Amino acid sequence: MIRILVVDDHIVVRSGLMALLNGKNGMEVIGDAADGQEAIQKAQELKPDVVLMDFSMPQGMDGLTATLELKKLLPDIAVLILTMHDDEEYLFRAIQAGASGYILKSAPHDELVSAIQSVATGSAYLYPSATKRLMNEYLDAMKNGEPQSAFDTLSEREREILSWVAKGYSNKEIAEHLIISVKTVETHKSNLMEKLGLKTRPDLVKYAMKKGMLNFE
Amino acid sequence: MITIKDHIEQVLDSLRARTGSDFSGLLLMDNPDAGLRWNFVSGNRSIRSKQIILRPGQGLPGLVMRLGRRVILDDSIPDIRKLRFDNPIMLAENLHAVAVIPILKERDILGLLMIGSRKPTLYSSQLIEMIEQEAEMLSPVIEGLKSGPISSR
Repeated sequence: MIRILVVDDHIVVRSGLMALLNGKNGMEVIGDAADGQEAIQKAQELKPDVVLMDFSMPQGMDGLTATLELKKLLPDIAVLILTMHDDEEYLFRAIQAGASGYILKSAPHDELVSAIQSVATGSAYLYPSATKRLMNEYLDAMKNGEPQSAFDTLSEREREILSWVAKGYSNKEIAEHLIISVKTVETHKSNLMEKLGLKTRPDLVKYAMKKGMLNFE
Repeated sequence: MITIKDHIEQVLDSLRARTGSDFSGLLLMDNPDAGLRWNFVSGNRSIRSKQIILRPGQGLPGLVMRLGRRVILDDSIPDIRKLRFDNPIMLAENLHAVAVIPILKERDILGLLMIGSRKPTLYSSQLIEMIEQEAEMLSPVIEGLKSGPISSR
């Protein structure tokens, strides 16, 4: 049984959601709250599996702040944001706050049920157009050249040296090949290992293999 | 002597005429788990509109329950054509626009009052207010219906 806490400032919505969800599809609505503060109190008291959280609750603590607080106090609880805001700014803020899912109130009922079931099992849930927006955001970041991983922070020279070191060449051999001093090679090597969080040469070789930098043909 | 059923039928006919609508209907939320249907209709083209049974959460009643407020599907909504397919009453009655107002008593939705148009329509706020007033007046009537068996037109 999935135990749900419904949080919405509108009493008719809370009543409607309880009527729609309670006792169906293996779900039980164990309580409701009218704002974020009450939600935190009820969550601590009732220990639900899923908190169905409205985003905008003008009279009290809003859903975003409540999600942040809840995830600090009760990290195992899944928060599913149920909102009228089909807006990417809200979506990104909800995810950053620790929400496991984001679904629109206008979404079909079956989708709401499936979203609750997903987040209750520890998975994430986003409605289809939200997934597309997140993908677009990611692709835009890639196009704009924003760092996506530690590897992206390496300079061209550091990548070159990473490749040589991983292939087993000594500092002296690399220096001769690149026509730079051994000391410069050591500096680049030290910098790149720090950036990648690697400590030993075997770590570095494994890393280079994962990145497809080693070609043994 | 006028019965509650007669009164509701008069209200729906009058609402349809005053709002210039093609269709009006009343859905009672008496037992959502058993399925919901438009118990009273006016201006319907076929009997199908009364035969549609909606499971809990489905269609316009489900949407109103999740939103806790009125739902207006008219020309102001870009994908109105697509939304029609999620709402069987719109397909059955060939409605291009609907305004659905919840009939409330405290925290509960007792029923839904709907008007519909078979041509592209943009509902004004004055018209929506008029339907909301009608919905408010229907609240005690629906409560009266609960005390006896619900018959329909």
